[in-house]
Amino acid sequence: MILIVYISAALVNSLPVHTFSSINSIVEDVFQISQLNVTLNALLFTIAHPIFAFPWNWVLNKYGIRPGFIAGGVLLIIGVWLRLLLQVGNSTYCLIGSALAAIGNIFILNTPSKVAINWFSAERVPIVTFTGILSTLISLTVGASVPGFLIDSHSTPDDIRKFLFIEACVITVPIVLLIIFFKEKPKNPPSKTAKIIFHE
Amino acid sequence: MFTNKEYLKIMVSMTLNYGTLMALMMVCDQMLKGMGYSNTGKLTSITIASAMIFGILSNPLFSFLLRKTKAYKAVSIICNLNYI
Repeated sequence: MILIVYISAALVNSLPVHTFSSINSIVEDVFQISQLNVTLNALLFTIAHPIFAFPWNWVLNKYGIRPGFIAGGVLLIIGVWLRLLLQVGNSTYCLIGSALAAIGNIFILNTPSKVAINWFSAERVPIVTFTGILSTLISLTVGASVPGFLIDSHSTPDDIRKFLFIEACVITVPIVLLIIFFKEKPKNPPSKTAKIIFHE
Repeated sequence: MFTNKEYLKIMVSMTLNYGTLMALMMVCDQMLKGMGYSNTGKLTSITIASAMIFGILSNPLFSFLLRKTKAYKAVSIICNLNYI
């Protein structure tokens, strides 16, 4: 159950990173905003990662995975819904949304090994960690590829907003499930490493 | 960690590889448009998807090669052949 909830959240966590990458020029033409503003939506995720990775890792170690998921999940959800406010000639709210999503995204991105150690026996830790990382890669691939097939040069601002709405719904459901159902740790430590971590 | 030369080599190599991939993903659409292609959205999607899928599929292959041969330097060179 924990793994299903976590993997489904990891599968949607990186969807918003490259939403505009494959439809860069279309968004630029349709919304009449500069190329830099469109590219910034993806660039913000790359900028946020080195800045927030270390402090967020400290927060996860200090307060635990669940509070991290709640903070990250809420930021991610607010961010992706804010992106719906993308208007012709104005991308400010969309950029703020991308920035919030970028900051929240890191909380879930950095946790495969922590979740694996807390919840699984030593033999299963590598495969669970790999599954978490693989989910992120699949999420990046789907997030970057799908917009190009659904949006074309004849699309209107409403079509793009509709796509952003569907994306926001797809992201929100698993993240809300993660926030509700994910528990910090099991009653009995699954490995010696987990036992040491639980007692710290 | 940062005084270990071998670690620094891997870190710099990975930074440049990942940085180049991210930058290419972000500007791929503009590059294709500049080259005169129409329907660049679909082309960019196919380009990004093929790169990522190849990465995902080659991951277990290179892991297997590393475990079997322990030839870390040779595998690193193969991974970076595209930059030659």
